[in-house]
Amino acid sequence: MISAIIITACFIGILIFPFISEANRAIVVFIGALISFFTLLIFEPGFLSPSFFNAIFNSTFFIANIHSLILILGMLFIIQICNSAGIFQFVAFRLIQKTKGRPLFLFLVFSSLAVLLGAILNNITSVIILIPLTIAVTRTLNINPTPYIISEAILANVGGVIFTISSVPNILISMYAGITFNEFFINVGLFSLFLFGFTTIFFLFYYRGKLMSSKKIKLENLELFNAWNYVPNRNLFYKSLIILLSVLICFIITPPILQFFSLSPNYISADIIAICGAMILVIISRLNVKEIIEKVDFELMLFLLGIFFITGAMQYTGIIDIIDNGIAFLTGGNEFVAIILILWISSFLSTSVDNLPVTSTLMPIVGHFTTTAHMSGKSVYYSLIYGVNLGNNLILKADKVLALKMANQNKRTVTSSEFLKLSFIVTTLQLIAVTLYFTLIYEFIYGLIVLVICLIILFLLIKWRLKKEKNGFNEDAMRPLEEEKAPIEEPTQV
Amino acid sequence: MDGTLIDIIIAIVVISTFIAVLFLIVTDKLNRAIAALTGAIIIYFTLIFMKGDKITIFIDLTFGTGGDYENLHALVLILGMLFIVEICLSAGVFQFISFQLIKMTKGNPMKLLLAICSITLLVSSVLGGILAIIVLIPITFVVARILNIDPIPYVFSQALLIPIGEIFFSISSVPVILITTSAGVGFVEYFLNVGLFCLILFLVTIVYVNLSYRNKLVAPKANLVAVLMKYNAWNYVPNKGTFYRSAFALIAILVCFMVIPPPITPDIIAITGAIVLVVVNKLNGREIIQKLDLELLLYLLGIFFITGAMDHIQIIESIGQGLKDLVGGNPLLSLLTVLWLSAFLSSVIDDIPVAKVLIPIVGIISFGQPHTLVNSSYYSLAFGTALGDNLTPLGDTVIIKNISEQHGYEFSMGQYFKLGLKIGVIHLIAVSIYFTFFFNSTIGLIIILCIAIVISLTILLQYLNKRKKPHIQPVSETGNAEKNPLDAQENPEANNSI
Repeated sequence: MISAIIITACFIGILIFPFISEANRAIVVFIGALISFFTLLIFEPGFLSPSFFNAIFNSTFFIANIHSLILILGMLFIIQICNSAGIFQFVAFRLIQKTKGRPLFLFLVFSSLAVLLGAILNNITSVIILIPLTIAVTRTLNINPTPYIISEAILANVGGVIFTISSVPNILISMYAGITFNEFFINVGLFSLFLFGFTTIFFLFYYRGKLMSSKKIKLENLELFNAWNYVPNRNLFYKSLIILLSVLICFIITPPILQFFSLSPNYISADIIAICGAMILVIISRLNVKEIIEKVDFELMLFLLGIFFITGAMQYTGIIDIIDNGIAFLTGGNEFVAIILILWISSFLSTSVDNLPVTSTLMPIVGHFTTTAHMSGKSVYYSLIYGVNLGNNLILKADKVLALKMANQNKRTVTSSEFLKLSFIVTTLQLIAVTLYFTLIYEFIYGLIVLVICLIILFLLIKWRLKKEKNGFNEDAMRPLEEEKAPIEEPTQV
Repeated sequence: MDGTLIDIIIAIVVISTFIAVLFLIVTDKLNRAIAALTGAIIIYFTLIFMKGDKITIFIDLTFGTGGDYENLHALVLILGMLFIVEICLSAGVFQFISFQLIKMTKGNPMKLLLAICSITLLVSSVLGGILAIIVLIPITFVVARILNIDPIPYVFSQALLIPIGEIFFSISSVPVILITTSAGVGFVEYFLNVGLFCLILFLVTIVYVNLSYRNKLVAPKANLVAVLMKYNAWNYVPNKGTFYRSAFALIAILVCFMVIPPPITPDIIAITGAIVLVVVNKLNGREIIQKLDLELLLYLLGIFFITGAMDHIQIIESIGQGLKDLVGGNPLLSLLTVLWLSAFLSSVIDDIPVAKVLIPIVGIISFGQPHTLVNSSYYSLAFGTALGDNLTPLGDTVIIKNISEQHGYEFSMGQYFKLGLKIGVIHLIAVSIYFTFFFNSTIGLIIILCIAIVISLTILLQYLNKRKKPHIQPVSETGNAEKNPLDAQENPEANNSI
């Protein structure tokens, strides 16, 4: 009992620590893990016995975590090399050149790039790649970068729910629940693409004044720049591109192939594919391995290890069971209620604190609430994935703070209040959309009714807003907007 | 019939992968971490698809088979030590202590040699070989430049002493950590059996270096010594507060290793100490973590998996059985076999895989023997893997050569090779005698006496030679004045070592 209280205190301490001090999260988690360890050692007699170890090492939770760590390690290697080969910058710049500098197309391209990069990289890396590019391009074209920066930072998060490998919570959950790459994409990724379209339309609507302005654009500067400048070594560029694509393809084709030979899909799990790809890439790229390894995010791995330990201790002392019972009591055993509850709880929890501890705590519990066969019994996990990923955007966290900083360093002022307001609104809308999605799957008729109501409300809001603007004094700026509005929305909806 | 064929194929694949990995590491064709991980992946696929093992096999193999998870303990201990070493190093603890000690010698060459050698032993016993070289060798060059003396004898003796430092404590180097965690040998027990004998090896080395370089160990001029004394050792310390806290924590951790009993294993002490150090020094956690040697950890994981797989498909068991049949159950013979085998293997191959493969083999060879004997087999493995390093000028020596070239000193690889080979063999013989003495004190005594006679004869001969030399080739007065006290100090020490 005492140990349960102390360990819970440690866990809560870890969650709220980032607000109190600037200390490194890995170190904080390690302190918590050590306190939990000594607590267990003192108060739990069976701790450290061989049977205890065996129980831990053969648990699904532990094995899944090891798989996750390997997958993360492999992807970190691949991403690191691809990044230094300049692949992402190259692709981004090529696409930007295709827009011929039209602000609207540029906006669409930047948004899709944010989602695309967010789907492959983590949020911070995609922000680091995209924001300088955005600032450079908007500066050459002499347009206001604010809409671009804000929408990119928010959409990078949506990109995090497209593939299993897009974000660390996805990796943890899919390894634990045995969700394959394809399953994930069909059930979660496709709807995320819809969320992407929806969010883009929202931003288009919100920034219509800024994006539709028909200024003269200095195209020459953009055309003159050669995208190959981002690539230090073409040989390396092709090699890493091939490996990146083939790893993604392997993720997709391995489960069906294994099924064809009637083998379990985790016979060759994603982590093995990733680490194979990483090793091949490291060997054929002939880079300095020490340098690559130094750049790999070791801190993330240590942080995860600490989290795994504390969550394991919470399981051992029965705290997780208490949370489990609490949620079961709230939902009354109804899967649909559980899904909605988990979605909103996890999103608001991961707003205030880091989403990895939240994921790690809720992950072993949520499986219990599956009672129906919707989405092959994994829908609860999907709702957890949406919650922890989208919840990131409710306030300004690491990647968004970074985006703000980078924008301000380049004298492109983006106010944090505007940023905060927008990301809060957008995320709430996204969460409502996800709720609707689950409602449509579970209770189709209710879902349809709610959907229609929502659409009507949305329609009325837009109409009201447009009317207000029409009556406003800023008439001349609005004229071109309305004419262009209709044809713009069509391509994004498709 | 079919089953055995597949087993043979699996065994061939695993062994050839292991050898290929070792080859790639020795020839430096591929980074060791990448080589080990690639080998691990190949073996993983072999085990899964040909042997039909469970997918979770890699967890058992990587973290230690048989339910005692010794690899996991070793990994945590290494991680903790990496933290501690990194912090103390950036606080300048080792550099400061070394320089203070050197200043205390007041330029007396014999004292200087002793000071430099003891520093090397102590620092490498905490930092491990490579870091000790990186920290200490530049200091030696700085001192040599100030005093205008030849640094080569000092550098050579440091290089020769580093393998001894690496087995001084049970936490001194990765192979020792692996051996002690899997043998379950405590810090104090290890120190009493191995560490103390290391002191004897240390003395033997110093005496030998002294004898071979007696001409070069000359006293510096008095004004140069004054310059040395003015040199402020605090220059090596960026922040005094951090320095005191780190030094204190380092000593506290070492004391904890000694006094805290088994339920709390060294790995927990190390990682706790590491975190305490980070917290009390208010260091930037991210920076330190980025500096940690992730490559070493990845390499260890790969090697753990490969050797675990070799254990799993019973290759190691058959090698062990073969060796056991060869030595025929004679405990002394088995100890010596382990010692010399591991020494010759680790002279060519990296220490870590050698230790990892030989640990289970030692377990098999010493199976059924009394507990103390089993432990001494592990000690002989520790001696062998470390002392074998001196036999060939590979690995660490290359780093020393690079550093000395950066400081503008010539470094003859051939000369070092000769010296290292001699010292390595002397060390191994000394250890063999040590073990013989344990089992059969009469034979041991006889051997020791014989060697004592031989050594004293050689010393006497050299002494006589030196006596004659001044008549033929007059040496400068300072050189002559130095030699007499030098010789006077040699004899008692030579006797001590015997």
